[in-house]
Amino acid sequence: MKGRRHIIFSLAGMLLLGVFTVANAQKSGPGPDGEKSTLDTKFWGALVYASNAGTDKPVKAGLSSRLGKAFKKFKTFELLGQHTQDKVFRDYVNWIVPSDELNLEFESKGPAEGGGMKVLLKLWQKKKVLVKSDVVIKPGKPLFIAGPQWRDGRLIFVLELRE
Amino acid sequence: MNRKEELITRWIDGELNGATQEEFDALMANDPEFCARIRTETEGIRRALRSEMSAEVEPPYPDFFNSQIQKRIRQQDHTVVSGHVRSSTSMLWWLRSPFTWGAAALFMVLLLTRNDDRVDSNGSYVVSTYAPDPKVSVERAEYDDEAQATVIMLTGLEPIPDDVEVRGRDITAYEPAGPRGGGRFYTGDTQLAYIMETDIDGAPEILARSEDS
Repeated sequence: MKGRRHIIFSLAGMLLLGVFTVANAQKSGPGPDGEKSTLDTKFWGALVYASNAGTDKPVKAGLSSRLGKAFKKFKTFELLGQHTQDKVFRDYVNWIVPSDELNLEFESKGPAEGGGMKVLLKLWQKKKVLVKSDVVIKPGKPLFIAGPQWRDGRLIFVLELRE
Repeated sequence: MNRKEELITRWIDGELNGATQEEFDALMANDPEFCARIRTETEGIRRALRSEMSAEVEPPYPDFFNSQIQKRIRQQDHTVVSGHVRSSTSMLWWLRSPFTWGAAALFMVLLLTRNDDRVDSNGSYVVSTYAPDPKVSVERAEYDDEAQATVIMLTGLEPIPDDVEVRGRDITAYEPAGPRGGGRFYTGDTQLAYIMETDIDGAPEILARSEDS
């Protein structure tokens, strides 16, 4: 009998602890609507065309090497467009628009534990969402999203957090 | 679980029928003090949950969350059809227990509150990924050690027709129109490149300005 009561009180305590954790998390949430604060971060996004054809506008060597390791079937990575965003507005929907074909909507959720930024993102192709993702992105560790096929290659969206 | 515990569990869940109700009434008559205590404690937990959980906690992507629940239900149905679940209901007694559901609720609360704080020693990482179009699937979403980058690989996307000219710009500034999105995008020499508006669903409408204009 005592053992059963102990279990019930333990579970009740655990549940209440969880409930108060949620309540506190909500209290420490974002500021009031309309507050336009910026984060001290710079995002860089690019639309890259991966193929095996030559190009006169390749991405930088370091990025090309990384893309080549991630997408081994392609040898050439052409920079179609890029977007550098110095100011990222907290609690705003931000956009990285290197072209009007593929663009990235993202919402920064602030710094992550252990460094980097927590980001909710959506990759759009015109008016269609291709993918939604919840990521932690760190400086020097870019995010590659392999998008649709185009001509003899594939479009790749690159997102990088720069210090 | 003995018979007494099973009856109490059913009583808490409001699942007593005629025969079990009589059995339970007899149990109450024999040990009313214990039953009253259980009832008081259970009601206390329920009241605390109702009062504290009135605020909504929205998961990061509700449609992703729902799709995962539906997926689990489908998997469970499939398992039952395949005959992997034993017919004996005694194997599932724990599912009826409020303690099981309490533990599950606690797990979900911890998952929702701790998910964003996960730390990966490799650096960038993907917490969740979801492709809304059922024809599209996420083949891969992980950190690639060799490339030193996080890679999300999508399959099933419609190819862009060859005659479409995919062109880009070098955007250096973005002026948001408001918290919900949209705005103006400029190239290095402060020339307006794109004007974006978002519709009621948040979908972008981009007007590209000529590079000569």
